[in-house]
Formats: sequence, C-alpha cells, structure tokens
Amino acid sequence: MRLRSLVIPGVGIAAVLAGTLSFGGLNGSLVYYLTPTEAVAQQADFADERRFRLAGVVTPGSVTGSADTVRFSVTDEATTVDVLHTGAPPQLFQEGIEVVLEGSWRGSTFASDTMLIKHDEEYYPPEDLPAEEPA
Amino acid sequence: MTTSKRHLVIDVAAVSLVLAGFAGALLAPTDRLQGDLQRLMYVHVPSAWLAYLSFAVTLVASVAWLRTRRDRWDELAVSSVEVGVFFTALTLTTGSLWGKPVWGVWWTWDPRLVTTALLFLVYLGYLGLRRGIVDPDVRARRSAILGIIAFVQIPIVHMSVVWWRTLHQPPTVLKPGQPSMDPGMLGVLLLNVVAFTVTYAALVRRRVEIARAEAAVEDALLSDDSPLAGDAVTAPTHVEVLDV
Amino acid sequence: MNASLVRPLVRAELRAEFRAGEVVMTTIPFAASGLLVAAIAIGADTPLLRRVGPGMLWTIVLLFGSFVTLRRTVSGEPTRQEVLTLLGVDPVIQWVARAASSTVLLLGVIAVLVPVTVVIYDPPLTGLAAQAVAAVLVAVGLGALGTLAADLTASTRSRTSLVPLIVTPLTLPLVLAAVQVQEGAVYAASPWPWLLLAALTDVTIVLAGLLAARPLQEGAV
Repeated sequence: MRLRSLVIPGVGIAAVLAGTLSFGGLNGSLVYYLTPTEAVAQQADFADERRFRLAGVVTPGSVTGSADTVRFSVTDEATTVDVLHTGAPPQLFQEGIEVVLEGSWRGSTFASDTMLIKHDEEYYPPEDLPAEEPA
Repeated sequence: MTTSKRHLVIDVAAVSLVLAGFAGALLAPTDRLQGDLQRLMYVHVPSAWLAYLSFAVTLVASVAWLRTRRDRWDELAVSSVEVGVFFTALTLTTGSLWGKPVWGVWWTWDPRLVTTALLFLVYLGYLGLRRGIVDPDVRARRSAILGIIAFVQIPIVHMSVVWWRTLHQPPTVLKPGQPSMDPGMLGVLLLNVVAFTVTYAALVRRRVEIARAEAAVEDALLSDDSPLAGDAVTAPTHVEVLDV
Repeated sequence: MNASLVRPLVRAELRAEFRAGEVVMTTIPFAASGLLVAAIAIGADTPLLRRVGPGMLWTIVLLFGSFVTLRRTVSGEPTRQEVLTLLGVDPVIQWVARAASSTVLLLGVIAVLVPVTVVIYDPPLTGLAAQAVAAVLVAVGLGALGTLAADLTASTRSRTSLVPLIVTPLTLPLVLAAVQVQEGAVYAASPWPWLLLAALTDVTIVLAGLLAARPLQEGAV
C-alpha cells in the first residue's frame, strides 16, 4: 500500500464534504443571525424565550422611545418585525441602518437586550454617493 | 550598493511611506455613517493584509526549506512569522477598538473574529515550538511542517465572511468587481497597504539578519575550538601527583 | 507500507497504557475535577448549569485531551521509534497506530466524563445518536492532531504546554460541532451540517498527519 493510495481518496472525501457543506444548502444552521422572514417562519422553534440573533434594517420613521427602552421595527423588505429594545442603543444607531439584536420572542414582538450595529462594506463621504447606491 | 546602504534605503522608504499613509489617513474624506471611526480602517486593513502575506511567505519558505534544506529559507520562515504575529495582534487590537463604538462590543462570537484569533494563537505556538528545540536541523524541519499545516487557516479566515452570514462585513476591495468605496479613500487605503508592505520587507530583512547572527552564535557555541568555562581554572597540583 | 501492522501496534500501545495507567489514574480524575470546579465557580443556578453543561464537557475534553496524546507511547519514544523504523515499519503506519490508540483512549475519557457531566450539570438528554457520532468525530480529530503535535514537540522541554497550544485552536471546529449538535437536538434542529463540519476537520487533520509522518521522522533524533 502506498501513501498516495491513502492521500488521494482523502483529498477527494475532503472536497466532497467541503462542497456539500458550502453548496448543499446545509449551512443554514451555521449562521450568526436570522433575518426577519426566517425569524417569523421559525417562530415556533424559538418558543419558551429561546434566545437568538435577529438582523434587519431599522425601518425609517419607526423609532420611538425613552432613555432606556427603544421601540422600532426591523425589516428585510419582505417581513417587518416590531422590536422592544431595553438598554441604551450604540451611538451609530439610526433609521435605515442594519442592526443585529439579541433576545427572544415575546408574543409577536422581539424583546432584545443587546444591539450590535452591522455596517456594510461600502465607504463613502456623505455628499457623493454613487447614484445607484441608496444611502 | 553595499548591504547596509540597501537596508538604509528600505528603512527610509518604509518610514516615509508610513508617514505619508498616516497623513493620507487624516486627510481622507470622512465616512457618511461612521465618521472619523472609519479612519481605523487605514491601519486595520493593511495589518490584516500583512498577516496573510507574512504567513504565505512562511508557507513558501517552509516548502522551500523541505525541498532545498538551505538555512536561509528557515530564517525567512521564522522572521516572517514573527512579523506576521505582530500584525495579527495589531489587526485584532484595531478591530476591537473599531468594534466597540461601531458594533457596540469589543468582541463577539463571529467567525471572522474567532478564526483570526485562532490564527494568532497557532502562530504563537509556532514560535513556542522553535524555542523548545535546540538542534537547528530538527527545529527547521518541524517548524516547516507546522508552517505548512497552519496555513490551512488563512483561506478560512478570508472566506469566513463570505461563506457564513457574519457580523463582520464582507470584503470591500479583495472581491470580484469594483471596490465599493470612495476613490479618495481607496487611494489612501492602497497607499497604506504599500507602506505597510514595505515596512514588512524592512522588518523581515532586519529579522533575517538577527536569525543569521543567532545561527552564527549557535555554531560558535557548538564548535569544539571554543574555550571551555573550566579552562580559566588552573588544575590543582595533586592531579599531577596522582599522574592521571 | 504494511497496514496489517497497525493492529498489533495499537494493541501494544493500549497494553502499555493499561499497565502504566497514566490516563486512567491522572488525566481522567484531573479532567473530572475541572468539571466540578467549573460548576462550583458558576454557582447554584441550575437552569444556567443545564445550559452550559455540554459546553463545559467539550471544553474540558479539548483541554485535557491533549494530555492523552502526550502520554508515554510505545512508538513515540525515540529509541523504540528508531528500532521500529529499522525493522521497516513505515513512519506512516507508526503514526496511524499512535493516533488510533489515542483515539480509543480519548473515547474512554469521554465515556467517563459524560456521566460525570450528567450528574453535575444535568443537561437535557436528547438526540443521543447524533451526539455519539459527534463524540467519535471529536475523539478522532483530537487523537490525530494531538499525535501530530506530540511528534512535532517530541523531546522538547516545554511540550506539555506546547501541545495544547497547537491542538486547542486547530480543533475548535470539533468542539463547536459537538456543542451545537447537542444544542440543536434540544430544539429539534438537524445535526448534519455540524457533523459534516467535524468530519471535514477530521479528514483534513488525518491527511496532514499522514503527509507529515515521513518528513517528521526522517533523521529524527
């Protein structure tokens, strides 16, 4: 038996596993957060105040709140979820920005206690955004 | 040009490019959302690039050592890891400083963050391994093997933001298509990447020199013609009496 | 390369371990005390203990598993290794035998630590089949990488801390998979992505070990 006869099938198996993992639609549970559409679809799985992360864009005009609680809604353009956030939001928090929230369902509202801002990979000065890019 | 003059040229180039990059980072346009915080990018991104570059150089040097067994490849491999570990630490630090005000946390369970931290730890292990082995040949061979195995992580680190849905944003520049960035900012970023790369070259050259000097010391200590510590002491006279 | 030599070599490794009792008498009690200390440090919060139990188990397995591969092995000792190599036993076969015996011992360690975790932390017991598969995958990967790291650090002074330093970061995907399989089972999520991830890590580690075995032994001191 030669080393090559072990290594070549090994590399093949590794490639098949990597392929299945990345293209087989199996990486759904490797995600860091759920989108509002997924969160609503899987609401039954996340009963009993099971915590998960929810990410979406803060709907413009939805932000109301006092010093230590904020109400707003997040959207992925298909589904919108109402959020009750306890605690002071980070300084970049504003309408139209993408946020990642940690918390659980309370009825049909998502009760969050931790808010992370997810910024995009685009960097532009305030005035000259390219025309096709929405701010 | 003599060696020391060439070194001087590369050192001066590194310092002036870094200063130019720093000035550029201060003068570059302000980001629409993050404001001045985004300027951390001009340190964070080039550091991450150097981490990739230096560990790739180590990979090539390790393979080359296994093939040729020339000492200089081993010297290059270890020098590159040392510089790479420093810049990986800088990437983690600047990333953490950037993350706190922007994301809201210093650190979070995120594939990009975790894989980068692991990268740092494994190459620290590489340096620890080298310290533990006395024989230069065994040390070179074992660290070459580890230098190759550890590189498996680099593609995972880079692709983690693409493969998984993460908090860390996907690549801005190293991706197919146009970089999604203001041309002025991109120019400054590229200037900093060049400045950091030249700095890397300067640091690695210096470190290779140190590695050579260390090897020379090791050789001198191992060779037989060096005086023993006991030579300074005169043998007691009774040895002569006993006629040993 | 003669693959039929693997079995007698594994048997010799296991017999040596059963005589010395290094894993049974030191590693397992030490790891169990680690589980106990962590539970006391967390405090009297039963729901929290239930949630962190599996994570603690796999952290302890990962940290203390390296010591299993650091034990005195038959073919890992330089003089015996030289004899085996002179007798024509391929370094690859020696590595496979060492890795396989470490995997068997690691499975033993896990088998003892699981009931200890159940008693101390009382985690929910669901999806046991998937968790058993995950445990095997952890043992294989940890055994293989630990053996490789033990070879890399052979006869160095600081190897007891170097091996865990090299092994721990690279085997993180295995621990992650094991923990997520358990957590997924509680919420009836599919374990497959995590098992695949663990299997991929294992295959990569074993390939690295197979390829490194010969260059590592060539001219070894």
